[in-house]
Amino acid sequence: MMKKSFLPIFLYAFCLQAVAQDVNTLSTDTLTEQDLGTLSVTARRAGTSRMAGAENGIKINREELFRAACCNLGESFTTNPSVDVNYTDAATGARQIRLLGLSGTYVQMLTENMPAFRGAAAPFALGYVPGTWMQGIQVSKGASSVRNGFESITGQIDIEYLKPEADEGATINVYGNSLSRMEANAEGNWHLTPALSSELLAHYENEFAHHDRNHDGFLDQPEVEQLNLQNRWQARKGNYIFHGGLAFLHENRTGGQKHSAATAPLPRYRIGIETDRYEAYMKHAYILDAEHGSNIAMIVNAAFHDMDAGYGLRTYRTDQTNLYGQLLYETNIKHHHNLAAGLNLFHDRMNQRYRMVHDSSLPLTKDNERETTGGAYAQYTYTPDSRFTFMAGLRADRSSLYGTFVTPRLHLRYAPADLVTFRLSAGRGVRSPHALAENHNLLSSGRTLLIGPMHQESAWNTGLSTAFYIPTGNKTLKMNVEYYYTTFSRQLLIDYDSAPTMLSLYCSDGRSYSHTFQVDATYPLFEGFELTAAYRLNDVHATYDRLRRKPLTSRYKALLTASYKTPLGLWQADVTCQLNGSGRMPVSYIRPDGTPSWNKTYPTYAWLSAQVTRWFRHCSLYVGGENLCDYRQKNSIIDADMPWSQTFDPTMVWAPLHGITVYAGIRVNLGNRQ
Amino acid sequence: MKKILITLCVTACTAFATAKDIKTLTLTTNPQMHCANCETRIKNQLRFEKGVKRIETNVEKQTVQILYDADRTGSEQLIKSLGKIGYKATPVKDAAKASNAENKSK
Repeated sequence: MMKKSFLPIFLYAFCLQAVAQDVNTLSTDTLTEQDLGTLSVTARRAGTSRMAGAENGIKINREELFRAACCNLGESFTTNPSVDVNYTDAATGARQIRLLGLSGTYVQMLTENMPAFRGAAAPFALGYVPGTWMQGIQVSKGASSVRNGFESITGQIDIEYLKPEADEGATINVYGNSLSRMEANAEGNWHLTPALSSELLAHYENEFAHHDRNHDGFLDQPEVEQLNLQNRWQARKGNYIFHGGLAFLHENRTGGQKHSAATAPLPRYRIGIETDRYEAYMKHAYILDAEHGSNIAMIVNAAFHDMDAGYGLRTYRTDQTNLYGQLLYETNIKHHHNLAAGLNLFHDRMNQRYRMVHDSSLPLTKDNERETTGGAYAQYTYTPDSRFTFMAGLRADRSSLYGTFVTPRLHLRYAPADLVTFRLSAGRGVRSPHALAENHNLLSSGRTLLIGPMHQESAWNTGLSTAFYIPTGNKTLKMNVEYYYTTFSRQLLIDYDSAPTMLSLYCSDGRSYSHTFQVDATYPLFEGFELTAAYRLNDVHATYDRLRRKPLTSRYKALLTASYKTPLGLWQADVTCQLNGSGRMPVSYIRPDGTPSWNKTYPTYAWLSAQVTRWFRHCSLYVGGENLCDYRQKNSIIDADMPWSQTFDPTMVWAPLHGITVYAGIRVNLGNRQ
Repeated sequence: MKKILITLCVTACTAFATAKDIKTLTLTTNPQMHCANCETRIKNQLRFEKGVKRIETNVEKQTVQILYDADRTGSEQLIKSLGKIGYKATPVKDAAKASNAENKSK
């Protein structure tokens, strides 16, 4: 009976489909009769685009960010084959970016070309930029430009916020997921006069329930309550342009054991991190000669980061001040020759108070770090035609702690034909490590934390990439093949291997390198449908007690992502599948029962996400799911039943901590926004 | 057999009843389209109009071609919609006639 009643419905649906196909045929016929010269069909805008110039980089546009939940910066690389985002520990929810197989500290984080989220802000920085605030993200791989400093080793990630000078309007976004996380975002801008614009960005998030799906007594993720506000201004008068802004962030991050009974008579193990962050910036630019591209600019940024973190009875408190200033001049000397030169000044001050053992009777250790680094740079670009670009940069800096150092960088771009573009880059990167500030979340590990003397980290990065544009059918297959090699002359190592109850952070001159090979291809199979496939091999080694593969680093990653948008762009469906390769676990120890504490390696796992979006004139609704394969690391916290012991460790994370997560959200546009 | 025939007959009738009256409207705009931003603005305005199936713009020829379901919308509604974002739209035939008449009068 049921079968029979389904038959007419099925046939009806089939007929509707046939009618719909007829419409498509009609439009195709119409098209064939037309001159396709500059015809623009309602096709979708590309979500990512390759950056022009000599650097190998991509720009992730807002359209790409809308393909997934992208609640914050850390969730914005789901569909990107180059950037990995990993949890670094299961107790605090700290996450880090990995580029070219290496830790996020080697990627220079920028917000609108200003160095951002330094020192103690690093472990949770990926949650400090709400997804709806971003206009786009630029990811440059390899040795980057010398303009923004010396710190970039594996690349730069530059976040572009929405602009005050954009079309007037406002956007409100509300999001909720099955982990009881709720978020609300609001963004609005107004043009006070034709020359003066302002913008207000607001974000609030909170968790409303406790989740412990693996029943280990610990929250699967910390509960985060965050308030984030930013006010931005833009003014323009004649050849003068001003950008400025103020930002404030308050975050409360609580995690640890759900009930005190779990470890009775010992107290309940709790984690609490309270952060207040204030930031101000201004940029002044003056166009001296528009015809020759001559301009002069000054950038000033100040950030104050106040953090109070407790990991059981271990404590880390810091009030950190970061100041940055840049003065730059750029001009086209002749038609094909461009010169940029400038001065940079970095000042980092960290007033740290910490206790690295679970004993509240001990006083806090004071450790004040101060460093001022000033330098000058020059960058020359030669572009004789559209097929060739040569860019060479050199900077010299003097650090109050580490003396004078030089950072050279070179980029070449050659496109012998429209079908292929070669890019070559080589350069040095240097950074001052702040072992505890940048890794204070490691205090959640029960291991004894040892910090050795610090020295400047230094590495060389070389890379070759080839972009192909191959006409296939009546469309273009975009293919990219690249190889990068990074070798450190000195590196801060986080050593889990030398002793199983110790975690040592020290600078090593030993051999340390990373080989990365990546191939990715994108093809629009049919109108509105785009498919991207990518595969990356990581070979990352460092010398601990001996030369070993870096622990908790996957040897490969495969990604397949598909996106379909209907011709008018009213519906959009996105699916992304990742295969994360296996990797090495830190050296284990033998338990009293004779079994090893954990396996030598962790397995390959798959990760699947999907989202459907419906666009309306003034709003869009989206529903999606993450980790649809429901794969999670079951024992993400080692010895969770003994949180006060040396064997307790939530920092050995290699897979998702949560299973399937379902979410839904709405974006409402007001004013001229669409 | 009888049941299958009835089912097919009902389905055919339904399909006939749902057959759509698809029409094409070609417009020119004042002010003219100059760039991709103008095209995007026009498309974003039209794509949410009921019954619109497809939009094609051509800056060189200064045309906006709209494929629409005549049962759900009409040329007047589409022209009115473009008027809301400041574009005065004229069907291409009318525009051509007006242009010819203007030339003759000269």
